[in-house]
Amino acid sequence: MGKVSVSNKQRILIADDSEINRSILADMLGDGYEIIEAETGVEVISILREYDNHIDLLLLDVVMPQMDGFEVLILMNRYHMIEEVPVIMISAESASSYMERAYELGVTDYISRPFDAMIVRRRVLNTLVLYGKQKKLVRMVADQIYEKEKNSRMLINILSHIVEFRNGESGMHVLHIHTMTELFLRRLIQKTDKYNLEQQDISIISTASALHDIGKIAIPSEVLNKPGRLTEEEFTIMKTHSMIGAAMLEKLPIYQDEKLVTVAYQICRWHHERFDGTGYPDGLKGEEIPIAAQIVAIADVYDALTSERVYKRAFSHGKAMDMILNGECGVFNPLLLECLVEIGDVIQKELKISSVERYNHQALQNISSELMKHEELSASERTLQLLEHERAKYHFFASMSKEIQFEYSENPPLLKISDWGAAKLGVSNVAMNPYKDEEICSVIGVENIRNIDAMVRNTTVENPIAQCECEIMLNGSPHWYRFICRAIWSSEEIPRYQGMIGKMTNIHEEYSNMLKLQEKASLDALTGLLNHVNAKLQIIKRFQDRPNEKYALIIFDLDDFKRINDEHGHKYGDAVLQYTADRLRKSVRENDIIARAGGDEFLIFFSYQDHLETIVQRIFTSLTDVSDDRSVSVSMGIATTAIAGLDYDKLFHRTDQALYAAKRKGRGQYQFYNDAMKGILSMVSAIDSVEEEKRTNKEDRYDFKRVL
Amino acid sequence: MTLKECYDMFGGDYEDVSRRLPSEKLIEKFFLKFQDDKSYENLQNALKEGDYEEAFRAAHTLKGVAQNLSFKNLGQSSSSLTEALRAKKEKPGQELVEKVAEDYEQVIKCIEQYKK
Repeated sequence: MGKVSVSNKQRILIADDSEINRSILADMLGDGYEIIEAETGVEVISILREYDNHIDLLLLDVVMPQMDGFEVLILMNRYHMIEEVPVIMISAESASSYMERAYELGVTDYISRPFDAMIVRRRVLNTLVLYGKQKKLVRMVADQIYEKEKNSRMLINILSHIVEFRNGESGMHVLHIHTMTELFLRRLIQKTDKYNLEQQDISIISTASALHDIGKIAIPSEVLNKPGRLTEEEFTIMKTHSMIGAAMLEKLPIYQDEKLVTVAYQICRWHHERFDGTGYPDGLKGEEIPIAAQIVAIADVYDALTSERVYKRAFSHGKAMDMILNGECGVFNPLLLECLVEIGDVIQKELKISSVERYNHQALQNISSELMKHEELSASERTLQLLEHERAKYHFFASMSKEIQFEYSENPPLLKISDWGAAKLGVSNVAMNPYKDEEICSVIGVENIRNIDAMVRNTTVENPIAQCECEIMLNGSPHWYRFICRAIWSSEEIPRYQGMIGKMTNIHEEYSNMLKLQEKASLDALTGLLNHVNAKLQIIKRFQDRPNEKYALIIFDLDDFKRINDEHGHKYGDAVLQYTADRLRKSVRENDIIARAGGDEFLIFFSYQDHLETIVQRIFTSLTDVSDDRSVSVSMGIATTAIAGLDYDKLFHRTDQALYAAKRKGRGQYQFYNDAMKGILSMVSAIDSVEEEKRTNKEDRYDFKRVL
Repeated sequence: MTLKECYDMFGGDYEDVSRRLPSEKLIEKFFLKFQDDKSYENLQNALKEGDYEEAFRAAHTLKGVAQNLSFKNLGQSSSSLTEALRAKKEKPGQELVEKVAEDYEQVIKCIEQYKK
């Protein structure tokens, strides 16, 4: 694993599966570098991530276990690491096809084994110098782009401010429109790709939005600054500003092919069009209006409503939202109205703090994000050092704690487990894609991984922590663990899931104690059979799991149990109950559910196919068998789900009635439920028979319907 | 016994290694370290278990280490074995395996003697 330290030396990662080869290389390079070693391809990727690609050079072997050098290169390409970390491939393979492939995958150099100290040193140095120069150049270019971008934005802002200046406005309008246009666009590309907008377009459109009102320069000041309502004629003059602005751009002697100019033209000309075709100057309808103009139109209306103008006071945010959504300011694209609702709060907040500083800050952000796309803009040395301190701190505490801690990143999919934890679980501490890693899957279980994954993805930014309990295989035997995970969400407007951190705690003892207690609570203390409550739960579960089987319920009690108790005392009575329970256990099949329902009553629940009576006969005989000179006499009632449906209470009640009927006929008999017993009293429950009748009829009808 | 004499004993090329590695001290360090190298053991285990993918990797690593240290004989025999395993991921010819074993044992024996 990578060692974490703070140093100003250049950092070289040596990846080779042979320790001896790694140390030969390290020795060849000497003390001038900070050397990190990796034994497998997975480790390489993990270290690159851990150092956030701040590795100055990777010396990469081809043949390695788990993931070979080429696979590492493929991943480095996929995750754009290759653009930041130069790679020198080292191998005993001298076949040109190997070299060719390596170069195609972006390695800077290829060194064949056996290596020569001088050559290795030279090539490493050359590569480092080359990359150092390139990074410096990138930074210089970035500075220049920034400078250039800043100047052109400044010019655009000055130009558009001229219009506002004439208008007697503060100059904030242009900034507001810029901010809103950008917010709208960001939201819009998250919602749809039908406008083919890219990141770059956001920057161009929002810059161009500043020019939307340049045509007003040609509107006479009396009209432009008239307090109160414009006359029909004045309004006609006012309306010409959109066409004038467009014409100004169209007549530009240069830049006609520039996207900025094209977009600015669209915005100037059509930012007063409405989605239903009632706007001006051309009465364009729906998507005929370019999306840039549609967005500026709605932003323009919002800002006009919420600002004070010579002809009106400022409306509140809520009022402005209502007016736009109600269509009081014309019809807009429904998709943009959706965007407006979703970003309304953000707009309100942003416009409040919108200031020139903020604007510059935003420009800076745009440029840096622009640059990030092309080349890395490295963080300052100080930030890096701070980061490394944090990392060192984290590693130290993680190594001290006897906990299984883990860290999962989504992109690339990489799971890292603390050293202590990995040893405890018996897995390696890095795994690419846990779903595909054999070790992880066999220990944690795919089902558990899927559940945890789903659970964490379901969290929110406000509440990113989730926990669950899972049974995992630890050294080949199942153990209960509690997983506490915290999702890492990105700080974008719509947060993206980036991975999780978490820990696993062994709760096996806690859990098995609880299970034991649960089991205890479900058993009858005297006989060790299930008690009635839990038998009922199990039976209902059986109904749910396998609703298509035929079931029968038997309730039996001991004849003369009261007399036995009276004559021989309770102790003897208890012994008889225990004896009966033993016999009962031997009389049924494993899957049958047996329980002591209370007092001297027991129940047997089982599924059957045919010959119910034979089964009942067999159970009855085996319970009352006299072979071992003690014997009991029992009475039995039986009912089936064929009569009662999959309704436990009803089934129980019917069986109970059958038992009552059996008792009435004389002891030592069994009796199946039949409809003649409907009104009969019951042994155990005393449901009012009229009520019961109503219930039965209703349910019978229901069952009938279901059968149909 | 000098390091060069030792190299001659097991069919190594001392001149070659001293041209590539900067100092005799370093050569000696890695020469002795070879005893702890796991690739031969990995190779034997993989062959025993019939895992020829892993056997290929181990043979390849052994070859790399041997070549780096200019163990000519072992470098050649492990290279032949590597190529056989690369071509077909199945049980390699016994004579190839035996030759590697022989060359490896020879090197180890010489290291032992050199240490005395």
